[in-house]
Amino acid sequence: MNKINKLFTQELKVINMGLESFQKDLKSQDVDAMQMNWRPTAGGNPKMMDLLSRLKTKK
Amino acid sequence: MIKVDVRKNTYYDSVTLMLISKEIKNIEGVTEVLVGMGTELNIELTENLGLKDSVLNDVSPNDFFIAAEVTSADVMVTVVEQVDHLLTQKKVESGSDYRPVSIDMAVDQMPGANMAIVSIPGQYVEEEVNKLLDKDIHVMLFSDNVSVESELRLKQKAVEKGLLMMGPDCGTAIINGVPLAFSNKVKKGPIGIVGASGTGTQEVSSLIGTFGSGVSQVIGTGGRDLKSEIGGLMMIQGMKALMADSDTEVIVLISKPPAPEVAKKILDMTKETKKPVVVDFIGGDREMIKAAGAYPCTTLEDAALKAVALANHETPVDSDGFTMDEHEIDQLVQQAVSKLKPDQVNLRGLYTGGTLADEAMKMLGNTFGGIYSNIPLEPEYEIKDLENLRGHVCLDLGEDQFTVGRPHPMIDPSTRSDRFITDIDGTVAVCLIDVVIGYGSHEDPAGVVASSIKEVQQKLNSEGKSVIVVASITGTEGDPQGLETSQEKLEEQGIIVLPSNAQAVRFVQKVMSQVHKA
Amino acid sequence: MTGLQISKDLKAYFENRDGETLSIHSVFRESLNLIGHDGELITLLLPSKDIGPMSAIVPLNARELQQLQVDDVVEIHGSVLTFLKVNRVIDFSGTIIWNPDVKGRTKPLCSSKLVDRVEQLKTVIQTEGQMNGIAALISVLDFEETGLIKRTFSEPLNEYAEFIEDRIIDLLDGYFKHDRERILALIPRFVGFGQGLTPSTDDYLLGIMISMIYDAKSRKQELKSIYQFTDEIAQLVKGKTTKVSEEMIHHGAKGRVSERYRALVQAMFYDVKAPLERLCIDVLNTGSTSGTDFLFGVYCFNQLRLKWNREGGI
Repeated sequence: MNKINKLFTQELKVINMGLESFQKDLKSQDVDAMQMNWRPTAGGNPKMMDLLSRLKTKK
Repeated sequence: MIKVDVRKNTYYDSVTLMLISKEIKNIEGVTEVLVGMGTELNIELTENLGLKDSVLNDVSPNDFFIAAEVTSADVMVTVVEQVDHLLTQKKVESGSDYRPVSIDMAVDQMPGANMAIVSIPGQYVEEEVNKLLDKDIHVMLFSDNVSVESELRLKQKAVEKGLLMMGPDCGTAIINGVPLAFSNKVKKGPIGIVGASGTGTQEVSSLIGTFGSGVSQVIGTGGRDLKSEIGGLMMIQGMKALMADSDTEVIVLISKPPAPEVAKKILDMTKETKKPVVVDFIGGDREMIKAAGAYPCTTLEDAALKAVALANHETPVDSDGFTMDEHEIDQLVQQAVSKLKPDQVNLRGLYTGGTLADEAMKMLGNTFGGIYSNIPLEPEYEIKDLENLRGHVCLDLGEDQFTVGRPHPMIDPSTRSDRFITDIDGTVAVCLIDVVIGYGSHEDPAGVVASSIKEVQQKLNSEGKSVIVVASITGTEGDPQGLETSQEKLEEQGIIVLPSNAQAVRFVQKVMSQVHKA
Repeated sequence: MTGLQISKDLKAYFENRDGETLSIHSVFRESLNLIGHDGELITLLLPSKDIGPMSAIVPLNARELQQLQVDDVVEIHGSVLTFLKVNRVIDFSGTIIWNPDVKGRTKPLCSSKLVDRVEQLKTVIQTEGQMNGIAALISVLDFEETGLIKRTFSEPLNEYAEFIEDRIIDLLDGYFKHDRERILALIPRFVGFGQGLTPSTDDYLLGIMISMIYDAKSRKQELKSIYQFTDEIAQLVKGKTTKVSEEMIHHGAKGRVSERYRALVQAMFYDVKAPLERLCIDVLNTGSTSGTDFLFGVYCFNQLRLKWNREGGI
């Protein structure tokens, strides 16, 4: 069974990145939803981010 | 050791009981557990499983028990705590919940995570969504300001991995009966939807519920999916999933007219399933759809009606007109028009939902001498001066020019309320609006509209005038704001509420015909 | 606010109890139960749920529901319910009435179609139902032509199925042989077992009882004797299972079940237009274990029905 059809049989477990109201709405419906305290990598510095991602792919 | 927790005269619905059972089995130190109501036979089963404790001799069938084999007394304390936590979760606001900072940590905390909703600034989207797709997590991407190139790369990856990547700019989806972001609570049923247009999808799914059927899955694709650069990747992905889904018997596709080669790809796909496919390429070419063996539509409401008919094994027919008796509608129109003064001739459409505004514009067409808009049908009707409106105007207040530095009007209705005051002057005969409720929307859109309109009418009354206000509510009884409650609030202010955007527009057409008769 | 739909028996109940009070018995995520002084249970459901006997659908949302608490008092005034603590009023005077009674359809089902439907029912239960309870037995119960039911060899099933297996076979054998006394003797050792607020065996029993009633109805048999029997079953259930389940069986004994349950049962006895699979899925969507066990009961009864000679019936 492909992954999307598999999703249709599972209970939703949601990671919410961004607008908190989305997660609150899910919780109010008893859906398992986790709010991230998302931060851009390297504090949002594009040059740093680029360096970090190149490091990752080298591994 | 055997430990038992009993809660006297306590009732949990079956879904909750199953959740409790599953949850406890996953706790470290629990070797065996039985959860249930204290009936004679359930207690007998605990004996058979070696889980009986004398405490269970005193339970009654209306008591709830947990009997567990645990490695230590502490484990049972954890079990009871977890159960309490599960049960009170819905009553307590999040507050002290752990909030991970990175996707890696989030997945550690929630190992079975299968969906992520992403609404972070556009420039960070590609990197983060890549991480999610790498971890086999389906994505709903609400963010906009993502480049077409990024969107293509992400969708290609998602297709390769067999995952959903709904967006960017995707605000509406209902997966496994759960409304995500800006969506409505619709009964479960046999109709599956793949939609590229947010409020269009909301309107169709809500109406499907209102017309007595329900939805299996509602998959969003984001507004750009059917452009030639993206090639309909997510719509095709979604269609394939619905074709293979045993709960889906009828498929509905919603989008603004796609690029021609993409339309062909999509329509060719519809031939690969025996399930009937309803295609609403809003305002687009119907012949091409018919030729492919799919069912074209005249309006969003029509798409919903056709889908429901097909789900009931009836023949779908083009819909037109009103739910209410046409005679009664004409009377309402007459009554309303009779209150107008001769210099009240203009139309003001003030919409929060882009697709609904688009549908209104297309239905109204070039009647009444053309309608100025920020989403005009022809370039010469593009509004030049947004501060001094002249003639007939229909605005999509969700468009970028209105949302710079302000939340979208569906979240913050005051954007539109402000425009009610400035845009509805003594030359206006009728004001046409959408009221979108559901999750993600403001907690009381109807209430806000009602009080703004009250203010506007009071202002006009001082000139001896009043304006006709026509609305439709996109939403369902199951939404937090409640369809009926919302309708009552609007009607209390004399607003005429029709069951769908299409009918509201038709009503306005009747009003305008009367007004322009003389 | 106005009620959206009300069951006929509940409407009559309110009309006869003007000025009386009820209290809240239990609150769930999409419904709540009220209880009267006479012990009668009344269910109020959110719009996403299926209407049933002694129930009404009300336009509350999940948040408003959570504000209500057990033991809160509710007053009845004509067709209006007043929740005193939160000062909320629900008016049922103009509300659409739903009739929970046994309802036949125009064309009875012919036996060749019944064979197909029983097979389809089995397939849906196995593929879409909850198989971690007693319904797992569906894969291992063999209904022979002689009516003898036996268990085919298999790996052990879950603990619920293993526990109840012998008693289910016993019960079904009693039904097959039209042995009312034997069935009544077995009920106390069968009821109240399994997962759910309405334990599995109760849902299963409901499936059998309703099928039995519709079987008589569709063959235009006299129903009085059947109702006498089902009433005896309902009496035996009292005190042996949850209050909610007792009430469910009590209504079921009169042939009354929720709308989706009824639609499915009708499809096993009458030639209805809607596809069986969809009616089954509607039942399964009503909420976790109950639907599966109910369908399992309907399935077993109909397997027996296929094996009876035409005088059949119980």
